[in-house]
Amino acid sequence: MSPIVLLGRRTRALRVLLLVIFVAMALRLVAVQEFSHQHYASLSSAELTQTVTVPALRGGIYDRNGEVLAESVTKQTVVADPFLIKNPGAVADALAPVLGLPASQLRSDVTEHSGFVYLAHRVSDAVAAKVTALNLTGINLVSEPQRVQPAGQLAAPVVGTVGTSGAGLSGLEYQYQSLLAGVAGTKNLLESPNGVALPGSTGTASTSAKPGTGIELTLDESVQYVAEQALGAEVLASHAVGGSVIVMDVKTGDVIAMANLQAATSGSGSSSSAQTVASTSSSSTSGATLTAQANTLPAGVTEAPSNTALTQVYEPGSVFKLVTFSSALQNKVISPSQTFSVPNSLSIGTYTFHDAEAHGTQTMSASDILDQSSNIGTIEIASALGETRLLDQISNLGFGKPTGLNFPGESQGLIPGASAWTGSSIGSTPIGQNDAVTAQQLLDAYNAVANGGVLVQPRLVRGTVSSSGAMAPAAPATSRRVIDPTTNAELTTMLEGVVTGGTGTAAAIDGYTVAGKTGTAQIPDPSHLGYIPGAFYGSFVGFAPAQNPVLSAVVVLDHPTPIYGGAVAAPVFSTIMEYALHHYGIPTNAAATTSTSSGAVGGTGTVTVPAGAATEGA
Amino acid sequence: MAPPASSAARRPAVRPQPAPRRPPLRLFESAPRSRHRSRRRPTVLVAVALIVGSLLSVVAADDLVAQGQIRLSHTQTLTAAALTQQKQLQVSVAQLSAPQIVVTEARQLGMVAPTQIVDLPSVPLNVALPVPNTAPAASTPSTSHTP
Repeated sequence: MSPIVLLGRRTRALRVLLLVIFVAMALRLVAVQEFSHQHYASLSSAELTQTVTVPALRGGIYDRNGEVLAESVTKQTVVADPFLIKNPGAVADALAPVLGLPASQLRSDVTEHSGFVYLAHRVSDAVAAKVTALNLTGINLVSEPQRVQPAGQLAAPVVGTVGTSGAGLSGLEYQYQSLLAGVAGTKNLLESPNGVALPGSTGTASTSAKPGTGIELTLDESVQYVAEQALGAEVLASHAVGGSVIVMDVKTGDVIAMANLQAATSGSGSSSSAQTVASTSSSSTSGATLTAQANTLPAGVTEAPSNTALTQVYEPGSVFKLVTFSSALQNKVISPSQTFSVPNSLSIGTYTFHDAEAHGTQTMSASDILDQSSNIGTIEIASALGETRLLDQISNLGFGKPTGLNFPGESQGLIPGASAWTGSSIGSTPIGQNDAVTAQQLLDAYNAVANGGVLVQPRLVRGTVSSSGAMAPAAPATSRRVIDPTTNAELTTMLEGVVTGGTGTAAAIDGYTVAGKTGTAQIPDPSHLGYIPGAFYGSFVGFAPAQNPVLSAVVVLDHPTPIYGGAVAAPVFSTIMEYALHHYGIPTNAAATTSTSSGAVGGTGTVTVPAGAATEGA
Repeated sequence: MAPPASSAARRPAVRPQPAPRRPPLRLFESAPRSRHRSRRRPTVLVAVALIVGSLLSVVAADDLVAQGQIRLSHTQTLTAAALTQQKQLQVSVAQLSAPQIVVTEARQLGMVAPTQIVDLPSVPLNVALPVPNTAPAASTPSTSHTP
């Protein structure tokens, strides 16, 4: 074979080989660029970027008029990148007076072998400005949300608390955590191969944070304030351990105010003060001083650590007689004018029951028995009524069942069933010394009487508020009839008599008719059988105006002196209810009569609490 | 050695013709270049100009996009700052309008809570008000103001 031919063959073979190589490379290129590019891009991205979480701004909590009770604002947190700091000592010395931290601590922080170290969380705007002005390399500010309560500790046990991580820990903040929290976003930052964020890298948002949804409560900030002031003053005056107040809209079940206070002991007072200072000092610049200056409560009283109106049960005492009388009237066992022979004491089983004030055997009508809160007369009525009908009415009025609020830690009460009854239960149960209920359950039952015999489920949330400010109303409260209208009218008149001439005269309000009931209940001894000597709950539950009720309220005082609900709780009811009635423009009896006769308030003279429109300021 | 011949005898009668020169060895005949080159030159120039122009356009467009991104980033920063400020001002307003602040300020201004609140009777708007009694008293002599 000639060399020329051989050369030609080799050339062709080389061409084919090169072609195969190029085709293979082209195929590989297509495979990489077209079919596997996402995989390689993600590998590259993982090497060059770090993903950080962008927290969502938590939704606000507002009262029924849109006043802010809790809100999240963005604050600046000072962080360091020690890899960029060349002179840690100088940086620490410069930052120490601005941040108010020891230079030694800062020096230790900025010399850590890390690319990210927190130096101070959520500093004030003034401090953030000073840090920026220092222009220190390696010292940066990052945004963090901060929860603030512009009204201080007002309604704090209801609103609840938020932890440092931004999650709700108690109260409505906890109950509505999923709604309030929103959805956190993510952000990709460019970084060096050793994991340090590149300076000047603003990052790209992969998913934006979705702000949380706010909630609008049924509470009215002004009524809440007055309720806390009145209750706080009485806790101090009566040397009580604490107390609770709930004010409710009769027709809708909206809770207008829910106050829970306790007398400040050295420990509780200091902790509460610390909370207040923390909430105010970390809030924005201008309002912080004012909030700290004018905190809500009188000295010696603090907000209770929990919403005791819903979470704490107590033996209600005479206010529970509503159950006995409503059932006895409804079952035609008694009529308001029916008389009974009432001795001073009565022995049932191993127990002897007494009336609060000693008296000889006397003839009392059913109305008198309720007015004077006679235990013996009530037991006589309950004996005629019977165990089954009494227990049915307890259940019918909502005792021993959830109220529907689903508040965290809420109790549904302790109601012994028929199987748990003892020989003396027919004596203790009708007068409220055998069952344990919450203040809210008690108010619900009286509110049913105020509402014409219809039990309405209480509400604390009126609706949700989107991040754009649009409000979506919550579903209206459900209701059911629990007392027939005739019985209800008789019961209302009897309860009115308690205030006009019975044990609850201190609950009277000038210009308005009031119906209600006092209660003075012994407190069980948890360590022994029986009750703690000298320890009582004093309470009053009622509604106004009696013949056209708009608002109902309950006041409970723990360990007051004097012990009687008519002496300690009824005046608080009067103070709060008088303010609330004027606040909502509810006409007095005289004005209502004039208006109704002239037709100015509508044909029936019905008035209700305005929905989210206060008529007066605080 | 042969005797040298005369110059004429030694000179051949006909000078032999040189062998014809072989054409230069070429594997392929090259195409006539000059004419084609002159034809292609404008096309190449246009193509190069288009490529360079396209690249410059891409660079310019990229620059515009980058500038827009910077403006967008700046605007987003301003918006975020404004939103933060709005939130903080909202909280400040809420703090200043909190009941305890209002009550404290009112007390400092010397205001007191009313001891009694009286509701005025409502006046029906569909009934004409009584005509006020403007008639002069009987003892008052009427006077004429006519000039």
